[in-house]
Parts: sequence; structure tokens; C-alpha cells
Amino acid sequence: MTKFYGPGDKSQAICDNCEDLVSTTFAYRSVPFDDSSGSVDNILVAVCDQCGTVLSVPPQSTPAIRRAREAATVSLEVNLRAPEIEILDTAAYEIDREATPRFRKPLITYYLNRLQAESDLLENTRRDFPIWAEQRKAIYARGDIPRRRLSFKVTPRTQALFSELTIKTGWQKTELVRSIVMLVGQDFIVQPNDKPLNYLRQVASLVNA
Amino acid sequence: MSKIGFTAAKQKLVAALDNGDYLHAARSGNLNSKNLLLPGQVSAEQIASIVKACQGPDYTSDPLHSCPSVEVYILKGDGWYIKFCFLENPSVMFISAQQLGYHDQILRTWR
Ligand SMILES: [Zn+2]
Repeated sequence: MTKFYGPGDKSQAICDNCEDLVSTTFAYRSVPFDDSSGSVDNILVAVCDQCGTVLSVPPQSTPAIRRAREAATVSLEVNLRAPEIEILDTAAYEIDREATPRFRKPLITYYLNRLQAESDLLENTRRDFPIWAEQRKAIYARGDIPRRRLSFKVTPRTQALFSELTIKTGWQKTELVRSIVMLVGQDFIVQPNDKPLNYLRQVASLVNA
Repeated sequence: MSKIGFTAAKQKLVAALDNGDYLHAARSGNLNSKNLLLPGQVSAEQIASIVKACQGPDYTSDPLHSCPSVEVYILKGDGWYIKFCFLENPSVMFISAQQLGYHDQILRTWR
């Protein structure tokens, strides 16, 4: 049988405050996330019997935490020209034949994180994007190219990363997403690169398991 | 509690995941946003299979800073970083089950 706790049940935990292995009692509390993305109201947790600090959380509180996590998400919306969405979807299809539109978001998040972590990549992207954007403009001038909306929900942390990168680059949100489309195009279409492909395949296999 | 060898630790950890005999440690009274098992972004079954695939060299342990009588174990495998200790009740306290690098953030955006 799976363990299931009720209020008043006892367990153990390590209390950093008491610097000891302590006994705890289960009770309902509202507990914040450590990344200042809000808190979860009234979940069952184990509280230090000596100092009252919330020390642990049982698996049965996971669904409530998950709902709170989802509620804390922010909507992100950009309008892109259809061929740019096709670039994202081509890469997504290459990574995982099953999950094409679902993979747009992790794909963008991957490059956002790389732009944040790799200063060379950011520098090159800042240099190359304006040229690429001009080339696209010339292509789009040839005919009536529809726009499509790319919309997804992101965690407050990804939202923060977005804002940070728009400040660093001086670009609008749409330009930042388009610069990622350019990178995706380079890595998956122009000059296929195994590094992002293998990395993202690994992520996809894990989430689809 | 004395140090536990790799094979025994793996068995104990997998059994605890199977029986739900584990708790997630809070960080200074807060929910650890890096622990992907906490909001269910990875399942206990998935963590169990990652643990099963870990090899001896992926396993290290150290006494806990704030409470040196407790040994903290770390397993690193397949891009994961799983940190935990063994207690009496619960048998396992997860300090974190997170992905190395920015893996975790990509996973978090998934669902
Ligand atoms: Zn305490």
C-alpha cells in the first residue's frame, strides 16, 4: 500500500534551523515556492515539532502543487510569418515525430537558455539577426505571406528570462523569438547540427516516456 | 546511520519510490522549485528508472552540513542530479531530483 499521511501524523526531517534530525507533525499550511513565483495554499506538509518550520512535503500534495504551478504561468504571444512557424515545426518534427506543435515551446526555451548562458552565441545572434531579418523581408515582399499566431504559457522563470534577454539585446519580444527562429533554421535546416538535435531528442524521450 | 553501499542504496531508493515512502525536503520553509518530482513534472516511475540505470561511479555521499550524523547521497545519471538521505520515517527524504544545466527549465515548460 502507498503511504498516505493525515494531519497529526508524525515523521522525521532535518531542520536547518534546529540543526538536527527532528520529529515533525503533518499539518496544512500555505507554502511559497523558492523562486518567488507564488505559493500553494493549504497543502499537507510536515512541520518541525521544535520550531514550526515547514520541513517536508508528501507526494500526495503533488497534484495541488502542480495546479498552483500551472496557474502561475504567463501567456506569451507573438505573430510570426507562416514560413517562420514552419521552420520551428520542421525542427520539432525532426526531434520528435509525435509531438510537433507541442515541441515549439521547449525548442524556444532551449535557445533562450543558451542565449543566456553562451555569450558568444548571443553576440553572434545580435550580429546576424538584423541581416537575416532583412533577407526575410525581401522574401516576404514577393507575395502575400500569411501571419500566424504563436501562443503559449510559460513559467514565471521563463518569462523573466525573456525579459532579461529583451533588455540585453534591445529587441522586442517578437524580434527575440524571430532570432531564435533564425538559430533553429541554422541548426536544423541550413547546417544540421547534432548537438541541439541529440539534446532535444533526449528531452523529448524523457517527457514522452 | 552508517553509510549505505551503492547497490543497497539503489534498492532502498527504488522501493521507497514504489511504495510512496518518501517526502520532499522544503528549502528554508519553501518549495524547492528545482525538484521536478515535487510538482510531478517527472514521475516517481521515471525517477526510479533513472536510478536503476545509474552505475557505481555515479554515486557519492557526504555528511549533511547542518546535521553531520545524517549522510546525504547524490546520484548523477542521464543528465539528472538526485540528492537524498535515508531516514527511518520516511525511508527516503528527497532533497532534490533535478536536471543538470537548463534541462530542468525546458522540462518545466513542457506541460
Ligand atoms: Zn526546527
